[in-house]
Amino acid sequence: MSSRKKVLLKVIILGDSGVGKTSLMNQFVNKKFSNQYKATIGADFLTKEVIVDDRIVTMQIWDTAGQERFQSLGVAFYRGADCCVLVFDVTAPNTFKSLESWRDEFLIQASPRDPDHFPFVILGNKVDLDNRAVSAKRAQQWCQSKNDIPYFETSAKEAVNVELAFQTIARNALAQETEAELYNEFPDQIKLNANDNNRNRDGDNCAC
Amino acid sequence: MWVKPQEVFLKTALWDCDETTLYFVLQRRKGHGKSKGLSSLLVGTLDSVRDTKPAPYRILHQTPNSEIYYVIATALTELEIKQDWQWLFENVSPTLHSFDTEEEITEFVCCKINSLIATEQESFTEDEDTINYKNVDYHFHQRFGMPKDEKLVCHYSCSYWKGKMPRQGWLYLSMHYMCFYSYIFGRNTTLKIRWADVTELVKSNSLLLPDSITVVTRDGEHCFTMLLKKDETFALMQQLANIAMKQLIDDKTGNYNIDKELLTKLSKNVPKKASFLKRDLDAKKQSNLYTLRFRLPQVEKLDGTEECTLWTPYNKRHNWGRMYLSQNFICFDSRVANLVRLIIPLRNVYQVEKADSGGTGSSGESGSILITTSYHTSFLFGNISDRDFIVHKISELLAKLPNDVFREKSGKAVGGQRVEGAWTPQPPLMTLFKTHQTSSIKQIQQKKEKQWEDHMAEVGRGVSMYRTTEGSELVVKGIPESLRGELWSVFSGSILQKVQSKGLYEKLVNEALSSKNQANDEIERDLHRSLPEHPAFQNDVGISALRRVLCAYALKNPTIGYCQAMNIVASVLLIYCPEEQAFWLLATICETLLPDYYNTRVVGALVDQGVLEELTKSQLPDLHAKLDELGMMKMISLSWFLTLFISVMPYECAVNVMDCFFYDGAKVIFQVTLTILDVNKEKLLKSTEDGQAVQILTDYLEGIFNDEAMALSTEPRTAQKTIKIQELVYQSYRMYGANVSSECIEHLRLKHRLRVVRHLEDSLEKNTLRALQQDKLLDANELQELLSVIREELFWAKRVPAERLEAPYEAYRLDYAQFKTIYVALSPWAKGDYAEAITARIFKLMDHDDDGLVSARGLSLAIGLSTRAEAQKRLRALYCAHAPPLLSNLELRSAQLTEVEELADDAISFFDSIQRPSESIQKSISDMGDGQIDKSTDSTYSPDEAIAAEAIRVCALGVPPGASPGTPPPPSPPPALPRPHFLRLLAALHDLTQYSTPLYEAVARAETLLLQLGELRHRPNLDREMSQDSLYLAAAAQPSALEPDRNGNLEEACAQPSPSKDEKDPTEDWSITLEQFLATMLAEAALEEFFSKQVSILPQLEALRQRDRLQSVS
Ligand SMILES: Nc1nc2c(ncn2[C@@H]2O[C@H](COP(=O)(O)OP(=O)(O)O)[C@@H](O)[C@H]2O)c(=O)[nH]1
Ligand SMILES: [Mg+2]
Repeated sequence: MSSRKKVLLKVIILGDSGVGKTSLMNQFVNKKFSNQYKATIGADFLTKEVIVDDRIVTMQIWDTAGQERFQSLGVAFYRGADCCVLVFDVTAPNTFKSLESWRDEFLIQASPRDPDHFPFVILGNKVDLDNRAVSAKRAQQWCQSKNDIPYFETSAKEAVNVELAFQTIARNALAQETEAELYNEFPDQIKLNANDNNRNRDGDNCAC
Repeated sequence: MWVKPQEVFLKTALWDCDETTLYFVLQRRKGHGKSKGLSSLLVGTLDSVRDTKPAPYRILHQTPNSEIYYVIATALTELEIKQDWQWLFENVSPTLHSFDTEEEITEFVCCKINSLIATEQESFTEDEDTINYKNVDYHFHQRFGMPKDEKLVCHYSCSYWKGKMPRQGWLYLSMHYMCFYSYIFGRNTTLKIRWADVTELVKSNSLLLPDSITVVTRDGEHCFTMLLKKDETFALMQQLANIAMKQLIDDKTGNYNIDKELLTKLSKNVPKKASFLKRDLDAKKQSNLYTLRFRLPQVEKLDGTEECTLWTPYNKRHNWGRMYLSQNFICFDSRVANLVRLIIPLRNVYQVEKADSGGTGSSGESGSILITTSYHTSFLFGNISDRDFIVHKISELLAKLPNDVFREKSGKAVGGQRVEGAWTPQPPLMTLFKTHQTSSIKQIQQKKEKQWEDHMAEVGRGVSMYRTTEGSELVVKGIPESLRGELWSVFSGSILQKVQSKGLYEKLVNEALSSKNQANDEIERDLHRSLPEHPAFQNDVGISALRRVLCAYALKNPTIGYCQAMNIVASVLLIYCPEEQAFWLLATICETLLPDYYNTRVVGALVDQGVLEELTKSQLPDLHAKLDELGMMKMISLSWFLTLFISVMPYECAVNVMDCFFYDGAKVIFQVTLTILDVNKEKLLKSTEDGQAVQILTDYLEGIFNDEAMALSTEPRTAQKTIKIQELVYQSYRMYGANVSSECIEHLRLKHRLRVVRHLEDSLEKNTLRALQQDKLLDANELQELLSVIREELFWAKRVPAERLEAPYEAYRLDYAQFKTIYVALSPWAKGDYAEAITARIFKLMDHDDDGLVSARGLSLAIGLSTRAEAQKRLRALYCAHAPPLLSNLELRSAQLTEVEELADDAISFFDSIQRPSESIQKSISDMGDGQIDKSTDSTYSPDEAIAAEAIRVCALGVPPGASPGTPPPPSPPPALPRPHFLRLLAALHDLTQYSTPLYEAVARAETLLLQLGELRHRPNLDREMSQDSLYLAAAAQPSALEPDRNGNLEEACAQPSPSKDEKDPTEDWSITLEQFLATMLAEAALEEFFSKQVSILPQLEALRQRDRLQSVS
């Protein structure tokens, strides 16, 4: 059977303002760390093709504004997400404490089919800095308590673990996506495929 | 003229019928108008003989099967009667078929006419002080059970559609409510709707309900018809609803301050009939339009206007238009839109003189006034009909001007503070960080500068330049970089603010930089993420200036503080403007041009997203459908609006949009946005998911270029060029400039503000409910109702700022009086004589931070504990509520004098003394009343006591009401109750059980036992551990029960020896522990059963809601 169609994975990055969401996304997509970003207002996204288990998938990574007053506004983009990445700054304990509410808010707003098994990934960013304030152990414990969420310690600045983390994100998102398809009724599937034909923006690729 | 319906029998005698419908007849007296036969002459004679002179025209009402006719209108002229006839035909006739019987129709018509008469009579009465107004006001308060301070604004006669039947009655509009009352067919109809609950107001016109106003609330729709002044009524409703919404947004007190000053100013212009408050609102509205039109500071109050001409020297013409006078300005706007507009600040006025051009008597200059400014510019106004009055008025205003207070003040400020602050305001950063310009760009800029210099040579420079059509054209082409700072400030009106508040910026900076707060932290994090591509912000000079501007503004306007996006806007302002000017421009953007955009819930930006959606729907319907389907209509341009496009297109392009934005206002953003959507329409229509659509727009926006200015991005431009910014701006004016007017935007903003605020309130409520459900005490239904009751209760009171909430329910906080109202109505514990005291105890238990306020969760827990919790938990809560220091010695003291003897055996004797402590609580709470801002000073506890209080609350509730729900309750340290406290607890128990003899006896038995147990302890050499002071030790003995970070404090507390008291009360060592109390109480089966009983509070909630809920009684 051909499930060789092109897959689009929607990934949402959440976390307090300044933890490095935009930097991580840019490090992953553009392979560089730059100081030339504006603070994210509203929402923004980048796409990147990756290969997961011999399949080419397009990751569409949505970056959101982190300031508290914008929190409720990002929700429009949560729907249809395949994976949610929660980022905190290992030098700022408050950003770690916020993870819980980010996670809750996401589950409430995106209302995924199976909230207990929806794929999250936690990234503890800025490990290149000396003034670390959240220990890896503490972070890991929390992740374990939440249904064993995968945890990575990253540095967008020095490209530590970024690739690995996003590989995991893609894999887990893909698993979620595949599972979602199994649930789909037949007519929906047709609709999905129809959409996918249009989705090939470059048009060089057909669903065969 | 409508007349009181009266029966007449002789329908045709002496009258001709002009028109007839099923229910109405229009008649003309013979001898008038057309028919001039003999009989008509006779009638005319008869009339004059009898000297009755009845009105020659009349309208009768009849039903087909009735012999009785009613006169309902008379008139002296045909025109007049035709108007009445027309009104009947349009408004009354279409509704009559909905009645079942003819009697009902007649009753309805008569009732309607009577109310019309009442309304008309009223319009003759002069003022709010008249008996009539007072009467109406009185009835309004009586009928709807309004609090005394609720102000009635206006009332109108109309029909309310209840089901399929119209009810004729009165519509009352007050500051917080709209109400309807009718009494017809022997039935009462009462309707009461809070403005804050209104989601939509619609004027509609359907066959069934012609010319109606529909009010939509969450509970349903309400339709009103047959309004005499529909437009006025509608406008007023809209204004009131918006005031209500604004209050929700700003979290301000629910009081609208009547602006007497403004009122007297405008009373000349406003029709006299409306109520005092209505006139005030009218005046406010007019003033708002005035400040909006001329970009004046919002506090400016319009004094009056006058038709006249303005002489424009550059084209040597008199231009007709209107002069506006207010306390600080003289303004003029031409009748022909955009022809010429002028603003003269009165502080610049040097001389005002009557100018009669030396007897030549040319009519064009009669009634002229020449105004000369201190900058030697003169402005000539002509054709003023009441010139003396205007001259007098202007000199009066001039006399009232403050005498350059600002200049003096600022002089001092500069002298004192420069030294320590050690900062100097920066000039426009572009002058410090010159970007390399190619020669062609240089040429273009120079050419533009030349054009502007020429233009300003004609129309003048600064605030009082003539704003002409030619000027607007130059703006659209893009202002030259060197003039941006100056012109932005002039066009936006921010220069006026700056002049009026000289020295303020410096003061704010000095204060802001020396303080530490959350806003400053957030600003710090964003300084390098503002305009990093510009060299000025790769350098501390620019960064520091940006920090100063943002921190100063956060201090100036705490309701906004700092909102991301402001950093981006401010950094561009700093490039072109001197620092202080940039600050005032930012203030003008935040407060006038983009109102509410950056507040804690970015309400304004959301409102404008709604406005944009509506505009898109009407202008680009197919695209709207598409974007809606992709689920992104609401979000697509949020960042465009918030950052004035700076974050989405190259900044050297966005500034061209800003040129027009400052000149023409927010409408420019809308028209540019619509144009961008329009241009990309075909592509967008083909996109299949949100990401693709966003990508199309991103590519387009990033490809916008400006070859008249230097691009700065150090990163190579990757995007493909799409459109020249000048072209885009021009297109936007051509395609949407006319369709999207400022008035239209203002109007739509009113409408969408209702929706957005409603939506925000709803989601706050939803989140609160979700959080409250986790306590698993009250069920969802009850919580929902409870929250409605809370909202109603809070409606009249100060709301807590929605900023920085640890949990959603913290947005609903009740003071003691509010808590009491609800608790007493709902809790089975607050039914007896002791109710007040129990309520006070429970309030203290729930007020976890001792700020005199309890959150919605505190209240729901309090009620849940008394109705749903297990017996043990309920008793524990009661016990803890009476433990020290929650029940402080201070509160006990006054009562103690009287207790001494009787106490030991009979706790009932306390009932009297109890009143006092509860009063003192109330007093201490009301003392705190306003001071909830500064919690630390209000706290009545010493640090040790605070820890103890915290421990007790943990013990009573499992978790303190401040902690987030869901976390497992830690084991609690049980404090022991000293005797006086215990006696209070007993009194409470007596009160709860007094209605049932077996229960009462059970309490008595338990009481005897407990008193004996307590007595056992009462031995001088007994272990200190159980003494009153040991509470702290008891609490400290269980450190695991407390937050780890509190550990330090706790250990300190127990390291100290218990505060030794010199004179020991003999009762000091008497004590009862929680275990003893629980064991004894629960041993009594009756009590165990009583405290396990599951009580539903739905009936009580219903009763409470009935009090103020929207109610329709038939
Ligand atoms: N040292 C260090 N700094 C980082 C790292 N990631 C981001 N930053 C910096 O943290 C700040 C905020 O980053 P940003 O990506 O804009 O955060 P966002 O608000 O979560 O999108 C920027 O100044 C980045 O340069 C990292 O891994 N290490
Ligand atoms: Mg970001």
